[in-house]
Amino acid sequence: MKYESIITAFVAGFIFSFLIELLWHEMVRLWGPLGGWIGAGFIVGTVWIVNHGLNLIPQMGPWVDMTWGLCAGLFTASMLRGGKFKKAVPHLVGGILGGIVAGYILSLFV
Amino acid sequence: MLIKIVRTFLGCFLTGLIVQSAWVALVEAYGLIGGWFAAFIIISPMWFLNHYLGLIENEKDGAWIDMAIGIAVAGLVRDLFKIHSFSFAFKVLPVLLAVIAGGIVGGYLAVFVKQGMAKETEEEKI
Repeated sequence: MKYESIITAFVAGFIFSFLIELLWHEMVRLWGPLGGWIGAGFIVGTVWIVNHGLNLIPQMGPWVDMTWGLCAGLFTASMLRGGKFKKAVPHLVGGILGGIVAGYILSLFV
Repeated sequence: MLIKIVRTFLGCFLTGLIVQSAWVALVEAYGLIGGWFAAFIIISPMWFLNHYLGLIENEKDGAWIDMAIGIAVAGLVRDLFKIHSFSFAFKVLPVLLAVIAGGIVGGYLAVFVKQGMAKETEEEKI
């Protein structure tokens, strides 16, 4: 049971970051900001159906979102293209703090 | 420096809060198509705000921090605040690490695939 869930979770992270990294930028370049709307529906929405709707990421404890894979993938890709880690630190700190506060507020009402 | 942290904080806070509450509600009400529709109506304006208008303004030569980090952390932290138990919290690790590893491999491969595609289009032009 355990190793199947690890394989499916790996594949889920792979699909999402691979598709977004390849397609999103190109969609925005071709169709402008509306490309972001199309991408949100046809990449994020469709991948969501597979990853969470059909449980490709098995939920055994606290919620593991498919966006973990996306963050890691886009971060790696930008580092490969020569992005500097140091310049991302304030965004990383702000992002994690924002997520924690949002999570606390969510725990109060959802 | 501080204003950067505050702006990213706001972007990720809003995104995490809205996604992890409204998405679940839409799925419960309409099932799979509700989830698809949730992506369409939530991700797009949030992306427009955070990355197109630039509430989270990543530097051109810096590593990319996506607004998705807010969604990911919010979903995990919500359940940690709800259920205070170490054994419950540790159950997350294998799946979480697998998703992150998959994401890293996906992003890594995508860069090379993209470079290959760019080369092919250049050769076609010549």
